[in-house]
Amino acid sequence: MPSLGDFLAVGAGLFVLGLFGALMKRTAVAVLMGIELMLNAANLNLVAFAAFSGRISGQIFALFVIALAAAEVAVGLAILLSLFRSRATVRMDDIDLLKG
Amino acid sequence: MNLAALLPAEILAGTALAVLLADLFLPHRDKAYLGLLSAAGLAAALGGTARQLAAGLHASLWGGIFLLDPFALFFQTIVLGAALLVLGVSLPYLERWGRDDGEFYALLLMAVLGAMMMVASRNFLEIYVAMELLSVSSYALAGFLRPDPRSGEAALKYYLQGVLASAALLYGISLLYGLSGSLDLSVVGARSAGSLGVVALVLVAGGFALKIAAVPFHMWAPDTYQGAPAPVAAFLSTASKAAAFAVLARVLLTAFPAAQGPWQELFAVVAAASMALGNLAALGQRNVRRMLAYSSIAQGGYVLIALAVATPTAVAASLFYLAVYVFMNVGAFSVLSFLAGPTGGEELADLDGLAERRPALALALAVFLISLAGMPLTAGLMGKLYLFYAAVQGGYAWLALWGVVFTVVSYFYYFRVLRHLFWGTAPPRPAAPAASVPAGLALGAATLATVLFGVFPQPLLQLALHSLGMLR
Repeated sequence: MPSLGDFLAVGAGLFVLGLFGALMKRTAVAVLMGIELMLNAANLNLVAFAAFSGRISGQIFALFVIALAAAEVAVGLAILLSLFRSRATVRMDDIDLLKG
Repeated sequence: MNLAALLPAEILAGTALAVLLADLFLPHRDKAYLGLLSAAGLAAALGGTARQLAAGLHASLWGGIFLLDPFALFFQTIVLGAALLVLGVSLPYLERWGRDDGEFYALLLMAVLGAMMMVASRNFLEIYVAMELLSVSSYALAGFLRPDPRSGEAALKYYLQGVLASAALLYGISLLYGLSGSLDLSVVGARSAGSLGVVALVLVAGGFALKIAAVPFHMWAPDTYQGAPAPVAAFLSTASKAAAFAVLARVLLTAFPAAQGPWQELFAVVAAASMALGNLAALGQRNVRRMLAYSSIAQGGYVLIALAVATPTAVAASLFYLAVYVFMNVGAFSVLSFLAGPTGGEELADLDGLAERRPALALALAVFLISLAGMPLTAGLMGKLYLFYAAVQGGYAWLALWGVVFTVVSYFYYFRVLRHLFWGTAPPRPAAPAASVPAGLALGAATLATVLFGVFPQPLLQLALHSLGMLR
């Protein structure tokens, strides 16, 4: 039986991995994947805390997060798609029309 | 009782859905009615909220998930007022771009609904859900001018940074939940002492700071404000910013009064950095909308002084400042929205001689900029005075001095615009489109309020102080 600490360690690892991916990747889709990892790290935390304390609110929160993340990604991919149609790229370095 | 107290929010949600539905059936030439329907819904919600504020409503709903206290109602009124002004300006703007279908209005109403629920939440789950409603609608709004790749780029940059910040916020919330076993704001703080609690608090504060566009979470703001539709930039820089500030203030003041020392220092640094970076970077901008974006980062810095000082006087001053800032900033972005077309038209040189071509617009823009700069007889000056005075009183004299110094720096770029407006030689160019009635009304109201609150600031300040009374 893994302990609460094990779950939190995995969660922290996922979070750092996702953050690293989101900051270092040069294409928008890969950045999105990194952010998804971060969201799931939070979900894992919420569910683990809920399971180990016997309170249910964390699990409900995680359900909300899953639904909201889907909505968020839908909008994000729509933005990406419309941008791809006009610019034919998803590389962050090429998306540079706006600057001072 | 619960449902009756939330009537303004319900009106808003109902209007948003009605607009979406009607959009399916209305022929294209009648789409303007959708804008008017949205305006009616917003006005009704604004009226209802203002009445609740006047009546001093203080209601805890659904076991404390929502708290409709004067503090929340004050910010709801600000958000709704800003949205109404933005909507008025959007009508002719969208028509000119050929994007005047119902989606825009529905998205705007949803964003406003999110902001409204956010400021009244006392539970992290509800805060998160409401903030996501505001965010997701805002991302779509920023990318609304689909034929324009600048709009898509603005949306993508806001989206990626926004989602990153909200993931960090969520991780922070999950840690706080683990430490305290609760999502209720009144319980969380007391049980989240220790270094892990501080880490969690910083993550949470970062999520809100992105919406306020405070340094170091400001990177999206210049690009997004420049590329998004001008009315959307007006909305993001005012309503969205005010709502995020309200939640941040509530989280810090009600949940974490015990950790006050550390976060006060943190926000002193953030406020100082925002004022410095915003004002200095604005100096070098040739695009007026981008300049206003940096100016709005700096304005966010002035408001954050309140969280560094954290006295009731300071927080009341920030309420006052945000209320008047809504009028002047929405106004400034609105004037630009009249001038710009698909080919640009927002460079400094494009404003040359505007006073001869469109005297009313030039005068309105001048009033807004003078107020943002903080000259006498404008609401902006009163707001800055209250904030700086509260900072001195609260033992942060250096922050007030810092603010004064960078206010003087800001004169350079605000007055450079005025020089172009009134003393630039106008090259011959096609006449700008005539302003429509709703846009004229919105602009007139914003101008009037900016001057009026500058000459008679007392009633608004009293209201801000009163709204604060029951925060703790």
